[in-house]
Amino acid sequence: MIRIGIDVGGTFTKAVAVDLGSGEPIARVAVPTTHRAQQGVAAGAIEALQRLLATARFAAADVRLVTFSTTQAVNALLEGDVVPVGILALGPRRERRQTQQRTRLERIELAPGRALRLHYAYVDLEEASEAVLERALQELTAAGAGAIAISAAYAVENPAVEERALAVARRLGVPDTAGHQLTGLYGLEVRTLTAAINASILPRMRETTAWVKAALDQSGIGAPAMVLTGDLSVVPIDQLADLPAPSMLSGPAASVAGALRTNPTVDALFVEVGGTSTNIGVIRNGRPALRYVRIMRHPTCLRSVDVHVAGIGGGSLIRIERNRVVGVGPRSAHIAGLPYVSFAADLGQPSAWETVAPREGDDESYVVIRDAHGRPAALTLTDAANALGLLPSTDYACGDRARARAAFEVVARALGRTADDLAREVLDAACAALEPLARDLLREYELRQPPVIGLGGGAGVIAPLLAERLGLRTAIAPAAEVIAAIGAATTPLSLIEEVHVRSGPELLAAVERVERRLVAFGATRGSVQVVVEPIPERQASRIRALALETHRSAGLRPSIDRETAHELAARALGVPATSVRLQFENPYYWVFTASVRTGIGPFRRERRPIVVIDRHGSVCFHAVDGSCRALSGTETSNTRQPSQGCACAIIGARCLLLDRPVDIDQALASGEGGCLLVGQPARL
Amino acid sequence: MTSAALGRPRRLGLLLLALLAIAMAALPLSVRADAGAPAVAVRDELAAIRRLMAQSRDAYRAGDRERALRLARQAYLDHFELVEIPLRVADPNFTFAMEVQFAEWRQAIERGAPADEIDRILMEIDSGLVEVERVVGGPGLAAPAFVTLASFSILFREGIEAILVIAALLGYLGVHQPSLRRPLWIGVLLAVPASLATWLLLVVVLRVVPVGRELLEIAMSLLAVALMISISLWLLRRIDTRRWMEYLRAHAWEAIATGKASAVALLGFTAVYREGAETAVLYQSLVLMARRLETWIALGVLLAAVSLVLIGWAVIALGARLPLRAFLSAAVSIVMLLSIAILGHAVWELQMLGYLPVTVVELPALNRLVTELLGLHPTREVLIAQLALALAYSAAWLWAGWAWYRSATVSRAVRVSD
Repeated sequence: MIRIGIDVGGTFTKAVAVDLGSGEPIARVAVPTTHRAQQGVAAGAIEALQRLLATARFAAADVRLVTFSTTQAVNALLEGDVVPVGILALGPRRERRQTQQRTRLERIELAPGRALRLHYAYVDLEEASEAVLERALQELTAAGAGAIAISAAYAVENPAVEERALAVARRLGVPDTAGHQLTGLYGLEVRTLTAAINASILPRMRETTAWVKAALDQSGIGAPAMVLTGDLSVVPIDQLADLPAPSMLSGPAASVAGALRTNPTVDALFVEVGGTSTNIGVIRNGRPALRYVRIMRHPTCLRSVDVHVAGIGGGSLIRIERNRVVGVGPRSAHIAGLPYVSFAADLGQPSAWETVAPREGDDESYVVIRDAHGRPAALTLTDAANALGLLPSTDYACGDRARARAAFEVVARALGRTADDLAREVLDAACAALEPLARDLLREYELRQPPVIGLGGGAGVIAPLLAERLGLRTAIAPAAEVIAAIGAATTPLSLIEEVHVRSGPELLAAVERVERRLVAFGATRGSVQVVVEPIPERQASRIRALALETHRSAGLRPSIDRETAHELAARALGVPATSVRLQFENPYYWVFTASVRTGIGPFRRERRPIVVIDRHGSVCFHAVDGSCRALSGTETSNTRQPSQGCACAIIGARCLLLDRPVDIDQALASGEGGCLLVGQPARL
Repeated sequence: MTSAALGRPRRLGLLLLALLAIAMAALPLSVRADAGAPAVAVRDELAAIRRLMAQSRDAYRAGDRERALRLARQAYLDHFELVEIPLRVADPNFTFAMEVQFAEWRQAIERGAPADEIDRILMEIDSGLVEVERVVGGPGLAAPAFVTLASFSILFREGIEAILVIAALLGYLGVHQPSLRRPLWIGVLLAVPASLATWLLLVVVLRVVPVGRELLEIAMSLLAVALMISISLWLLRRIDTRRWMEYLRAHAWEAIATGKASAVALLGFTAVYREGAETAVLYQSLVLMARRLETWIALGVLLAAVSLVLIGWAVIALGARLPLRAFLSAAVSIVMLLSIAILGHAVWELQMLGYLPVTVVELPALNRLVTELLGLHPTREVLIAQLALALAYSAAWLWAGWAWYRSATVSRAVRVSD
């Protein structure tokens, strides 16, 4: 049985087929991303899929799931592939003024000099009958709105009125988005903004989705198609047609997911080196650090992998002015339409060099090499690493060292330098530009001596050198060049929802709602693992649900086994593996503890750190000191846990993280084992 | 469960109880020290004055003005003059004010003023006599105990709430964004002088504003009552938070989430300042109500501050968990009682200024100072207002209890206490 992952990147669209039994990729292809095709990036995705099937390493009938990660939503925004949006605001009559203040958006900038056109209508909630809503929507479309953003005050508590408006809009055939579909958090203005941005790209994304689905049908793959979002949720591709905005930045998310799948880790700095740019981000507690996405200066309620982006990649061109290296990038060989020197098989012995402007308006400082016949090739960062012989032969970026060195010698001679010195200077310039971004992240997340994980085709070029500058260890992920596609293929069906409730029956109802959604997406009932964590600053909760099995397949084997979990626990607790003890396990979680003694004599103190690790290697709970207690299915309602601390309760597949005292005051479901952990989440 | 985890809150609880016990033990000693031998005689004289006041009022209502005037003179010449000797040494201005009131009483009888006016004068004299008892006879035991407890409860309750909020924020930041703990502390530390400044501002405003002192006192009392109601009824506050969060500007919304240092500092500042500003208003109100008992208010503040430092250190630095539900329930009950007292005081002041009608009722004999501190002034209007607030509180407790019971039975396995 096979899972296919397709990552539509900025430069290349890559596809892999992963065998469900071994978890290993059995076929991989890469095609240029088709930004300018009539079908947009869908054309490249379809071509990658067809070429993957053409490798004949597996049959179309064996494919159980196809998952995409795509930057199409971002491209649509950046390239202005948007329609004018009509905002339909709804609020209680007594709060009309506040509702209008927060929903009447003046201007939404999508790219420098490019703004979204907006139209506005307001209806009191008390008067929001179908007839009134229909009239308001017709007025908006008559004014020129191509899509509708519906935003009602308090819709996160009761979305009935937004749903009514959505039904009316669908009857009228207008693409629509409602605020409550994007988040469960309070914040009317940010919901309105996000809904408007989402609505603006709906027509384009609906076309893309339809093309992809049609291609899947034509290729004979009957498996469901899914999309990876920026927060590592995996949702049906139909959702790309209705809620495309969450798929922004799904590329870096897919890369990190792939890296974690192939190399589980607790804390790490990841450096994803593409052809044109590099993304640097953080893995904390076995998961990528996430952050709310900002589009230009507009905050949104969408969460995505927190990455710092630099315009330096493996294919970045070297810039020279007045016989001095002045930088690397942001233009790359791909943008210049030239091959890398190391991979330009047609290029003869390099004999000359010149500086050019790859695009109109660029500086004329980008270095291009020519052979005796005048054939051009781009001198890139990858060529510098090849010239110095830094790349092992197994590295994806490893090319013709002799040709790369010859090219550098040509340039170095003109500058009065040696080829090695010049190549090293170029790599140093690239790392110097990336180092501040990495240090910012290390400082912000207070990571101490984390490994640097290199991802992407150019990982071997930059990641080891950057790690050396930072004084950190480095590891290049296996199959780094297709790691995003592997991540897309292997990320289990999952959902993340944020809800405005913190406790009691409302929270449990929200958990059950998320579980039901995941089952509707294809998860097997009873196989859904749920982690609930508090969002104290919003007085809200975040629910992460993950399916271990799906209807159509037994899913991938769990990412990690008990031994790996043991190692991760030791790393998370900062103690030797020999002093870590397994206290509790069920099919979803392991609970490990250790005993740490500090001080001497009367100041001797003992603490018992605890860590909970799930089957995918994520640290769900970490306390520096605390206690744990098993809960059996025979507990009666009389049994009461004293209110003693912030806690984590594991009950079957559910892991509930609580920032306040917890009582267990009812019997667990029959046969459901559990574990209650009480402790202080962090040493202050 | 480790024994250390179980023992820590118990030890802290015992420590707090010990502190309270020491304070309570110290009370009678200091009371005895303050009260001297004259106290007994003064109390007798004051009792005699009150008896004569009642007899004079009855005589006046019966139409015997001559007897009423004789009794009034007797109250002043035979009894108040004896009290005057130590009173004049302690507070000559107040002594003069009391003399004027006695004179007004006699003049009102002589000119045949309406019975209501006589009643009002007598109530003012009665209030003055309570003050006389405080000045000359010492405060007794019950009143200082109540004031100390109320003072302790105000700071303790507000402080605990701030500590819990800070501990939760620090815990969260420790896990997610440790670098933001420093700005949070900065915000918290800035809030302390800001709270003190707010209190000073209140004191200055009360002195400077060109409005009658009584009116200002009434306004402060009513503000304190409103604050206490909003503190006690957590449901109302939750609704407010919900509305505030819904209409938050997008950039403020983002700042809270993305953890900008300034936003986190502001979060720490508002968490503490909100409690600090409330505390300032409540203490100002308590100071106005419990005159000449300022020492006892200070003792309450000191005890609460020591307790809070211990609890704050235990919760934030050691991660200890306390039986907070019991602590806070007790503190909230005392704050509720205090708000009922302040409401009684405010209504009484309004009656004294003639803004509300006065209907006198008989109250059972209780310690005068305690009834004064509880705001139990003998008018129907005061008692009705206090009863209404007490009923509202009872309804809120019942509602909260019902909601808790319902949530406990519906919840399948885990319940989180608010």
